[in-house]
Amino acid sequence: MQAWLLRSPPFLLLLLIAVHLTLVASVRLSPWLGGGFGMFATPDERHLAVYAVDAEGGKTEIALPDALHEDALRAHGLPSPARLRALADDLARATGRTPDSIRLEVWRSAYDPRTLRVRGEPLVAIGPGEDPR
Amino acid sequence: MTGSPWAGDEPAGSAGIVGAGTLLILLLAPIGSGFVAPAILLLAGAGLLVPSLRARSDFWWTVAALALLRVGLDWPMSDNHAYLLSLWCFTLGLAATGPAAPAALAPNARWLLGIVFAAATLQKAWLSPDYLDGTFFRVLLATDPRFEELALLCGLDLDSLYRARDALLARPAELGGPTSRPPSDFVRPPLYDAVALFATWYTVAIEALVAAGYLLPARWTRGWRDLALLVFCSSVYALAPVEGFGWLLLAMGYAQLTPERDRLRVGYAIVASFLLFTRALPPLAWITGLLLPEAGPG
Repeated sequence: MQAWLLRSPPFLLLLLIAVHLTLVASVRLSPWLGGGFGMFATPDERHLAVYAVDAEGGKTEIALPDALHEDALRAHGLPSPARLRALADDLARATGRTPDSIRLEVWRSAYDPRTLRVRGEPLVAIGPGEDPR
Repeated sequence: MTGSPWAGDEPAGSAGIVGAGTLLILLLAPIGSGFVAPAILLLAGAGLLVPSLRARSDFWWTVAALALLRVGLDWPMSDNHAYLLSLWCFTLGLAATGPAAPAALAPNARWLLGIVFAAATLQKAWLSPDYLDGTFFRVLLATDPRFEELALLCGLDLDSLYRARDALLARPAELGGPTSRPPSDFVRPPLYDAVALFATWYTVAIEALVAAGYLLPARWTRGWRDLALLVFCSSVYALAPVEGFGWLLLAMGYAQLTPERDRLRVGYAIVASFLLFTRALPPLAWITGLLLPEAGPG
């Protein structure tokens, strides 16, 4: 066995942590998930809002079908554009809409340090409409 | 590593016990779903019954691969526990690859512990904007049902606790929609904030201490680093019910013990047993039942 391979586990852990931090910064991976150590370090309550957007740009919130609940949970955890687009496609199929008429927004709750009043912070959005950030 | 300031931590030949302990963790805190869960249980049971399996690198790499497969199947929902477990099984496999390989187990365990705790400290102290000011624990105590008894012991009554939880977890008003809630203040007893602040600083301080203990040269830290890890595990995992991760950290700590620190093996066994005991009789539930019998089972 090569000596470098025998000593590789700490380097693999550092790599995992680096990947985690990169995903948190780039595609909003929840700090609680992945190979990093953001658990028990920050509140990370996330909310997914699903809208049907009409031709005039008006948006109406629609319920997520139960069958897509698991996919939605994963989209909470890692709301990458690709994952959200896949969810929008599945939602379009399930509701008989076109994918480009569906808008998904992922928000997180931020808390006032003193009063703990909740404030919504948009994380990412896809679909027609303005970026809420 | 001989000649370096970090020398003096070579293995104590405890790979067999550490391997058995790791398999026991897999039996006591099963992981995975679908076919992964029974496959890992089967391997863990076989490895405990047949010691020669634990000396085979391919056995450990199979366990590591299954643990990693679980991460892939659950992607992105697995947390660091799942990754670290897979990496630890891979490390045990490396230690079984040849006569010289066991020597790598102790330094690997020590570096893994140091990096784990350094990363946790970094995340809390620098990367999370709402940790050091106490916000995180103030929110956690009210929103995480696992800490419900602690919130009650801090002076909240059940009604206030559930109202606070609803408000803190509701959709923010900015998002709109039928389930959004307007912002409201959460009136907290002074003890609640004091406990949250204590938990904040205690956790980050002891994690930093453990990180320093395993990353700094052994001659500076040998006298106290294991004690710091044992205090961390027995205090944090007695309250936070993630004893599987606690046992994993203890297995790593045990793996890096040097022969002159043999007495500490008993300490590791006691703390591991204590975590098993707290799973059967959670301290917070016990204390709450004693002090607040009217609160009932959480």
